[in-house]
Amino acid sequence: MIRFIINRTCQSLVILLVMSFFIFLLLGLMPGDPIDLLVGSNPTISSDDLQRLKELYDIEKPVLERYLAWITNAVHGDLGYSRLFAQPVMDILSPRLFNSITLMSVSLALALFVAIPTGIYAATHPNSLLEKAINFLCFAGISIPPFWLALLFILLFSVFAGILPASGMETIGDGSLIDRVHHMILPVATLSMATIAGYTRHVSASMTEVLQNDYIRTARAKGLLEKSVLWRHALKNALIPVVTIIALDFGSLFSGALITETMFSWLGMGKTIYDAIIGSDYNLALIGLLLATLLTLTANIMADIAYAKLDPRISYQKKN
Amino acid sequence: MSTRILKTQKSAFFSKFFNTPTAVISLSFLSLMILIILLAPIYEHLRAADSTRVDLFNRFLGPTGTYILGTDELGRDLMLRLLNGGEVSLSIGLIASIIAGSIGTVLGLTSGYFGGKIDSIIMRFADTIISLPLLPLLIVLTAIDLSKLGIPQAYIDMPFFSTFKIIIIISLVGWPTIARLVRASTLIVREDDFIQVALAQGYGPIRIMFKHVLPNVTSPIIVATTLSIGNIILFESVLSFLGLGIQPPVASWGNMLTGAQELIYEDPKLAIWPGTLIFLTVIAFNFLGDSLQRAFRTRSIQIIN
Repeated sequence: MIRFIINRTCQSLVILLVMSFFIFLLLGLMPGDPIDLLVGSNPTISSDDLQRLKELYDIEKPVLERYLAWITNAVHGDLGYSRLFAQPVMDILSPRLFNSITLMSVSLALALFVAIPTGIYAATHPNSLLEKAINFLCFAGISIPPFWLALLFILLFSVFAGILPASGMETIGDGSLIDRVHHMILPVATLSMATIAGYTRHVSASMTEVLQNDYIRTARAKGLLEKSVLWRHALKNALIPVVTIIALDFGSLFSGALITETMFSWLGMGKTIYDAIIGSDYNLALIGLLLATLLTLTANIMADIAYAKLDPRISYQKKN
Repeated sequence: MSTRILKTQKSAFFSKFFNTPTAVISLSFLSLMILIILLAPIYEHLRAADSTRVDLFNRFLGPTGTYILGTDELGRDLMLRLLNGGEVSLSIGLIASIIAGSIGTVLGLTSGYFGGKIDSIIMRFADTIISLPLLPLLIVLTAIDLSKLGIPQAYIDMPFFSTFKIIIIISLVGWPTIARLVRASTLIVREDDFIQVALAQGYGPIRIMFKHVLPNVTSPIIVATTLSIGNIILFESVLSFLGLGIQPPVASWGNMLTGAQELIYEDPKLAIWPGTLIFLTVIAFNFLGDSLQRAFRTRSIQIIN
């Protein structure tokens, strides 16, 4: 098991390294270069200064050389400065990473809380009216454009009803827990909607399959309560594939968070990456993208571990 | 004998498909919408107007005789913009899904047929793409300045260039799902006797892959491609909404929503119409794909029986 974790971690580090080069390359192809941007913001700059800046930023060196210089600094813990915020990149990203993780974990918890009972109901009542309604709502949930859902929520709850704030993380000058929770309702609702729909479908499909097994018939034949059959015998097995899907789907949860954060001005990683790319702050974008990739890869490794923990039949030891 | 089996298979498929209400409704809705969008030029001709004409004296109009759905913040005809935007959004969905489907099919066939090193390289690549946070990467890819890659500025300035760019970018990241499905089916088909016969006859791998394996793995390809159309339309709308996809003055359902957020207090209809159309189109493609999958499944159960 430990060997497996080490193995997977090494693989993930390789992917991260490849991604860092790939993103570095792509960001080099963005419109304008840092010098143009500096010239734009300071028209009195002299040509001597320009030359000095070009040397400072190594702009004329080949991309591989610049990448190697960047990665050497990065490994030594120097991740550079953000041009937009004029602060070290990590000072900006760490609180935002925390905000993103808060938003994502609350949404994820809500999604599981709703999706597991709903999925079980759908699997145990096939072809009932409510099951059909659940199925229809799931299709609606995965088909609705998330940014449009956010717009609808804003329209309904902020414009017409006026009961929930349309953006931000807290009222300036307030910032109490209730105020923060108040600001969280719409973003969490938006982000969890598609997630709930997707998870319900997975739980329902997985439960349907598990319920056809002989051990479920045996459990029922023993006279166990239906509740115990479903929640103790069936659900445990049905959740195994669901855990994998949730973790592999972490990338799309992050994509959803990007949209939600942008729509509600939630100061998280997704919004920061988007703002950094739009504002030509490439260093911030680079580190932000790599952190997002790291987050996803970590989730994938955790899925594999959870997979083995949930199902004792799975072992990652090499067969001889 | 074989033609009879084929007939019952087909009729089982069609009867299952057309007995699913959601399938029939989705198919009718999509056909009707495509028809209306194709007929849009006639309407434009009759109205002697086009979707890009700005009329600042007629901003934020409600529905009137001339403007069936009213006008937007620049006084452009909302109905015409929805029709033209729909043409762009649907074309992107259809074309990108076909390209991504083709790439996925070729790579999936190769991976499943040859196995070994080739298989593990292609699948590792596919898994990596699937597991990455896709939207941030798409944002980076769409933001690239293509003149730095040596593409002449004249092409970049062409009005439909952003449409081509989106199609290519989405196709490049959209193939892994289909590749995985095709690979899984290929692995099963490869073990069949008729492949051994084809091998014994000395046919090369390319001929076996495309003439013998491909016809037997069409159902997952059709299902996955249909399901991917909805996803691609969603991705296009998000990117265009964020200002990185389809560039104005060309309309797409996504970029029509860009300004709508700030104008939501002033004119909610600008937010409601394009979004409703995206939602209905995507849900219709998803229902269609799901019904196809169920219909194919009944067919294979019938064959086994």
